[in-house]
Amino acid sequence: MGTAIPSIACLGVIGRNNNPLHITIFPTHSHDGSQIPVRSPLQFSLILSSTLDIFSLRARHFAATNVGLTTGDYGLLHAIDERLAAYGFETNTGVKFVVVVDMRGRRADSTPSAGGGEVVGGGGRERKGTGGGVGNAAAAAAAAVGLREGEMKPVFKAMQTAYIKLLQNPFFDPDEHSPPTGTGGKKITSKKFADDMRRIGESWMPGITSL
Amino acid sequence: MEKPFSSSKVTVEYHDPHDVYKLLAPGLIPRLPLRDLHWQSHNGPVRSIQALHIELVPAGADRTSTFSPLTSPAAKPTESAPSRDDGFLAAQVGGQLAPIERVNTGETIPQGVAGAGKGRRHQIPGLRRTPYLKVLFVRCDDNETYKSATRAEIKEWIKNNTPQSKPASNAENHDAFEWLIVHVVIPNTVAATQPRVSGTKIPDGSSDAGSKTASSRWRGGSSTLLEKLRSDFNSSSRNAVDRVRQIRIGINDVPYDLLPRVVPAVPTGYQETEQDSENAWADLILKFKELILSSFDTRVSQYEEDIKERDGQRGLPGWNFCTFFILKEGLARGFESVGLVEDALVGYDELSVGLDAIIREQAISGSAEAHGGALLSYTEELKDFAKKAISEVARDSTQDDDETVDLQAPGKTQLDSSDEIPISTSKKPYRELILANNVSLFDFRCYIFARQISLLLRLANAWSTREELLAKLKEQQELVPRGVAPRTPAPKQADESENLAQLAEICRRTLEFVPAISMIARKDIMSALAVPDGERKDEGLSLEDPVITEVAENVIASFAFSVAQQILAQTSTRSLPIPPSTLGVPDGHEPKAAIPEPKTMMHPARNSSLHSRASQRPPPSPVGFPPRPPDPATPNSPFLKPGLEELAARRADLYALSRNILEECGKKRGWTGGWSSVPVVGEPDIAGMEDVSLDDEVSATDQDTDSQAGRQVLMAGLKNHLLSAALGSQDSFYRLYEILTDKALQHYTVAGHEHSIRTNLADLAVLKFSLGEFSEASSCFYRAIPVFGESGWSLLELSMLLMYARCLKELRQMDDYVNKALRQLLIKAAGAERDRLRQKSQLRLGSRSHVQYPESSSIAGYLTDLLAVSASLSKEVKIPLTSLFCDLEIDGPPIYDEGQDSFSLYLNLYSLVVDTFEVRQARLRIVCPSPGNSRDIWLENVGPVTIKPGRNRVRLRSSIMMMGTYEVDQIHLASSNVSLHYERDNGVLKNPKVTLYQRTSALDARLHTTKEVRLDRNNSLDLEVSSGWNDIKTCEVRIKSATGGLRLLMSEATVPGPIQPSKQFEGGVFTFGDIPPNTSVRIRFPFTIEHDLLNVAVKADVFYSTDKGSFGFSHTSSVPITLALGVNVQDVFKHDALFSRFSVSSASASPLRLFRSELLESEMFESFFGTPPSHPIVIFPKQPASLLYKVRRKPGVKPTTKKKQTLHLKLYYSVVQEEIEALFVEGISEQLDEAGLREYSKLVSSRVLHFVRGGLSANDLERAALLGELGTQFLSDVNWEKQFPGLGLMMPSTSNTPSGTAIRNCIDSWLKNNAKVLLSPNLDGAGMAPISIVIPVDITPITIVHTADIRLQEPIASVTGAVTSSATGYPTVCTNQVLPATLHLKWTRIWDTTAPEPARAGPGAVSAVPVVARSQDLEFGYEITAPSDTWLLGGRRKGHFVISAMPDADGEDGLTSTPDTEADIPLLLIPLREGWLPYPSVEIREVQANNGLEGGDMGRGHGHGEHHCETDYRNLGETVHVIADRGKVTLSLDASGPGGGPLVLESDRAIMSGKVIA
Repeated sequence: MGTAIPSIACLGVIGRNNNPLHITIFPTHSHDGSQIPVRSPLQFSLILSSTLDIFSLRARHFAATNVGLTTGDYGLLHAIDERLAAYGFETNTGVKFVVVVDMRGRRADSTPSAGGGEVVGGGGRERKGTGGGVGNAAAAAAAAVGLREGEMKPVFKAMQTAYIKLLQNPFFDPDEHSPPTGTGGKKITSKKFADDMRRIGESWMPGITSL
Repeated sequence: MEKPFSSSKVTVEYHDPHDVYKLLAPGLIPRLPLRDLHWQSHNGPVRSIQALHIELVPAGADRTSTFSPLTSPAAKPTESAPSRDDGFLAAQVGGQLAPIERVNTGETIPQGVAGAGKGRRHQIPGLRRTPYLKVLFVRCDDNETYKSATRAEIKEWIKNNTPQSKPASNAENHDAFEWLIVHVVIPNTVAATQPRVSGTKIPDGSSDAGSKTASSRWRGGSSTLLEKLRSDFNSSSRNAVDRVRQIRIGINDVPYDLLPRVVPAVPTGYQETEQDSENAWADLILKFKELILSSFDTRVSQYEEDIKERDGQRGLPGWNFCTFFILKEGLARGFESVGLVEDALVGYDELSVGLDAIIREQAISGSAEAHGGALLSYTEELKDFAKKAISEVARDSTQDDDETVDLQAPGKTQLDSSDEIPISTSKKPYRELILANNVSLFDFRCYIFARQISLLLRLANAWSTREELLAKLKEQQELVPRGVAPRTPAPKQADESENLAQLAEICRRTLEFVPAISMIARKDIMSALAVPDGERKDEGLSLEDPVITEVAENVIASFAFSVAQQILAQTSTRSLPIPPSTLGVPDGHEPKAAIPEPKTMMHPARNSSLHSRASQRPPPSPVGFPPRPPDPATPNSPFLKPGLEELAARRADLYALSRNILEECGKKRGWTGGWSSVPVVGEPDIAGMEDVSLDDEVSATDQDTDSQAGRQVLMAGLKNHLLSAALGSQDSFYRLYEILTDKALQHYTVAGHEHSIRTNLADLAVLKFSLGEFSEASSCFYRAIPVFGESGWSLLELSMLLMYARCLKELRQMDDYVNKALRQLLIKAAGAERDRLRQKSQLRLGSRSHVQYPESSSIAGYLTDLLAVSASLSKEVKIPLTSLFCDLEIDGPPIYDEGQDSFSLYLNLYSLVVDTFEVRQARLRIVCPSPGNSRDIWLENVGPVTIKPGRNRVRLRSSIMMMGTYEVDQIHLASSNVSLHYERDNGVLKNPKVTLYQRTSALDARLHTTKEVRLDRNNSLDLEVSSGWNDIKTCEVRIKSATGGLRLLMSEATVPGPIQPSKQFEGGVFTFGDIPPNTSVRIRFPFTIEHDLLNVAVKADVFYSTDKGSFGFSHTSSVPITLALGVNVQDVFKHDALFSRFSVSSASASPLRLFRSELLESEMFESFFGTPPSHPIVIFPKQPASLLYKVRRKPGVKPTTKKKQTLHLKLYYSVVQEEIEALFVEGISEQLDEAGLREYSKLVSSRVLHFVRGGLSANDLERAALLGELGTQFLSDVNWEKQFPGLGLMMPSTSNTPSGTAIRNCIDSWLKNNAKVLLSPNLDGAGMAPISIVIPVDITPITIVHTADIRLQEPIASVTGAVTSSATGYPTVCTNQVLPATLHLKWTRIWDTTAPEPARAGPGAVSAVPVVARSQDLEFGYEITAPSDTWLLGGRRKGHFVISAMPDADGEDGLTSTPDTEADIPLLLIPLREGWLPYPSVEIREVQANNGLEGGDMGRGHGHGEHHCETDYRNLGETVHVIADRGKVTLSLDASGPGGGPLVLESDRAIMSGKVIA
């Protein structure tokens, strides 16, 4: 059945100064089978940029109500259109992770049903198939009812892990990327981090519990 | 949360057999709605219902036809009648009379006869719309009627309408109701004359109804009608509820025709008071409330029980979610109906979650039946619609276009009503479908969502819901029979505002709902199409068919779009001030107004509808909402309503959502919002971003153009008129896109969402740009760009800058174009490039193949453009150099040109610009950082410089030479009218230090002090300009003082030597003509200083030209001007000569060597010196040399001017330290010459001297002076290589050795070979001339010099008898021997050398005194004194003498005493003790004529106004040897004398001649 299941269209890491630290864009499936991103990089940049309002709004809200946001998970930030939705997460150091999910970015039938985890496709970078049966079903369920709260948790967790790994690199200077002056900052140039992001984005599918 | 305005209603059924309702209504209606009900729920706090509306329904009537107080007679079709599909009035929004409503009247029809409670009952309760209360209005005018008829009627009614058996079944409890009998009393009847209670006048009457109280007043003595009713129909049990009420109608309230004409015969006199009437009404209302709540309570508990039970069965097979849903919804609706909207909402939320859970479980388990029952896999409508669309497509492809019109028309009309309002509870008989288990997930969700939205709208008090309700209320009130004024005025509607936060919540939910429902809808359609149709088996629809997918997507998009639009319409409120569009966009678009008329909306006249805000306003509400003037205030105004920002943001999100849907649809048609054509400028992306290549876009447009049919295909499935209209043509697409974006923008502006504002601005800008509306685009860009840049979204910024630049160019705003756009653009592009470079360098290890960024081509040409355009600008365009270049670096040390005095620097810079451009002028300034001595040199390029992308090396040359250490200060690159400048910055430029040294062969200007110092004249400085290797054609030397207080007397300057200035020099500028190589010109100029200075500095600028060009040299040199020695003089005047003793000491720590000295005689005096020493005298700092000269007055010379009298002491000396320094310099220079480092010798020697000066202590110098040699050890531990940084390789590039190393080697070897330097005994070896100094020596004029001489008379009788005075130089006498002596006094005036200056003579003039002195008599007194124990003096010890005036001031006469004028005063001297006795002292003092003898010192000092006189006392220091006068002494050698000494036994006096025995 040609059901499309959600996939990640874009992963963004935004620094404390609201400066983009990293953006990875993933091609998504379209009906003619081609794999191109649904939006141009510029548009994704704009989308990420506009989520910052929600972050600041929620942060203010949490500050006002004095509710400590223990997880930092902001949930759905934006429904961009009927396909794309942006989810957000903020670390306690103010680094924000944004996941733009394409609700039908991947074909469910492109996922091999038997046993997950193998990497298919020599030339392409696309890594298909992950979770196996349960994952498939969950994916189908997600397709049926939309993404629930918490579906994004593994993604954020993985992103945070990757970011923490990055921070552990002694040559990585966080202040360079989010200067305490409050403006600007450099991008993350770690290849490992970029690879991590790519891996996360490509391997996630609804129902996956760890990445 | 407070419910600001409750719109809830409950049904109350009334039975009116006597037709009294119309009488009652005027009193009843105004008292409704019921207010302030308090309901205690079973498991929660007390809920308050502020107002509860009651729908009074006549029993048994067909309400739709006969009584429709709540149904507006279709005045506004959109604001339609309430749906009658359930017993609860849901807040309807723009609902419509749907024909399908009749479907479920099967349920509701029995309500008319529901009194029996036996209607068809579905097994699932909760659908029933039953009254909470049944009221029977009874008219009974008197007791007789009551007895005969009324009582029976009532009994019958009760029997029919009330449940007979308590407890009722569960099902009945769902419809639990209460009943009430209202006795309506008509005026002018018997009943009206009765009091309510018979016992009112009798206090003892018990309140127990039915007790008959005997009352004489009442005929028949019966109780009142009310009491009868109570006793008959209230249950007898104690806790039973009182169900009887009586209302008396006032006589004025009854229409005349209804008023009974006959007044009862017996008036009782009872008057109903106003108060009584009020009480009765209040009592009735209270009863209403009580009974309604009671029945509500019963129902709720029943529902809750049922739900609990059902929920518990969840795990059981066969459990059906739909059933459960209906049950639970029943409860929710119950809540809603009494105004507990929040509770209702919670119920629906729980249901929604429950549904999700069910779906999820089903999906996971894979079996739909297992849990909660299956839902339909597709929705019929969707399926139909999709099929239709597909078939349209199919037909389209085969048939002609005109067919489509026909095909679409019916479809549209059919769907017209429902497609724009997708979310409505009344769109479909949802509940029926759910009940029938015949609902798709899509519908299910839609229904829940619709319910949630409507509840929220109620909570939000949205004007749409409220107005409906108010309208109904009003109608209800208007139905009151005319002519009968309501007793109470219509209750004021509190002007309660909408709850914006709730509206925002609606939007929020919508935002979540849309994606979810889209997914569902998609699945729905897919599965619908997957099910093969019975009739069209042949089709075999493939899901992979792009047409299907397209159609499905269209349907979904359309659906989502409609939802968004609907919610936007529903949440629009006047409380949300949306500023008018700043873009001049026609603002008339308000979705609510526009939805019904998509056509007019779609083609607005762009120019005419500017800011027509009127249409934006919702229609004026009927009550209480005066249209507020549109508030143009900023969204930040202080009276923000709570939730306003939130709502604005959410609505903006919805607009954005719609916009994005539209955009996606448009994309398929190749109409992008301009984004696809946006140039992407390369930005570092580690992941190797996959770019949408521009080719794709091209092909897309190709597709777009080639097949019109393709476009038609895509149109299918778009239900939403607005959307489909927008997608009908490119124009309207862009139009709608713009409107939506602008809407979102304005909303975001209100919400204060900065980032989103920018995003939308960017969207708008891009759109405008692609549409070619450049001025609007540029204003958008102008607003959006800076902020993106600030926070590092450089990718966005760059692309937008590119477009901005293009806009400005199109607009011909060249200044902005250049300064705002291009400049920024280039800078940013360069910045991006720099990032890329940096990343590249970091990733080098990763060995990734780096693709060259092709995007850079998109910014190619801009620089050229910039340069070209800038030429037309009046102002220079300044761009910081560092923003376009990186890796600025001074490459290596200065390069010196051989044979000429110029040098070059290489500037390396990395151009980040993609264009190659030519630099007209490149300049670089180096400055000397030392404070107070700011020097700078400009270096310029030689010839044009072309800057290519990437690395560039620019040679900059300067022909100015100033040695020193410099730092690069500024760099300027000028090309066209663009100036790229660099100001000194932190660490941007690498190797900014430049060390310039002066080559030995280069032109040099050195400052020296003259070797001949004259203290009586202004000293002069020598500036030696040596041409070096330059064959100078013209040369100009400027000399300036560089020390404060130093004044150069240039007018007295001289140029000794053969080369003379070609022009008269003035003001320190000397111009020379040809100066051949290796020639030096010396310029000598005197100077004065205003205060003592140790050093003076002089700046010499030499500008000269040779065949190789013109050059400059500038040097500030400083020389010490302190004297190396100090001279003191001591004069001793004698009668005919003056002895001057000069003590010469060293003024510094360094010893001096004094080679020669002479005292130059003057016209008046001559000097004599002894034999000069053969060796130079070494003067140590603590050991001055003493030189004694004898000065004599030349005879016959008259004292004239002072000048001629002055002697000059001339000393030839050298400073040992300078000698040593010269030795070092010479030695090292020689060594360097040998090593081929000749050009460095000046540099090196200056450094070496520095160390020599620092390394030598005073002790070293002393030793060197003593020993004549000096060890060079102290220089060997200097790191010489470090002393010469920035020299580069050796200049004659013979080897690769750096110059510093070579120099070090050279110095080291010299030090090794010369462990000691020898000071030459005389200066010949050193080749330097001794310094001469001429010190003027004045002879102090002394008026009189006396000579006093005590002469003992010869021969002196000596003890020894011999004349000893001549032999030993001093006489030997005995004590007490009388010595006759004479005091010889003589004087001279020869030392009175004051020149006669008669003219200057004046009363106070000091100079007049000596003039007078010579021509007047001077009286002196003498006094001989001696210690009284030493000498006994005889003779005239004191006396006066007069020196007569000179007869002739100029003559020789009287100049010196002659024997005539000398005095010989006889004296007798008797020495009193033995020893060497000094002569008595003689003092000579001038005696002032007027005050007689004046005591005072006549020595060198001079008294007040008296004359200088000196006394040469010749006996000073002479002694007389006095011995005892014993001739013979006999001693006893034993210690018997006094004190143990020898005892003098005998002594003989010497017998001398002339001995006086005292």
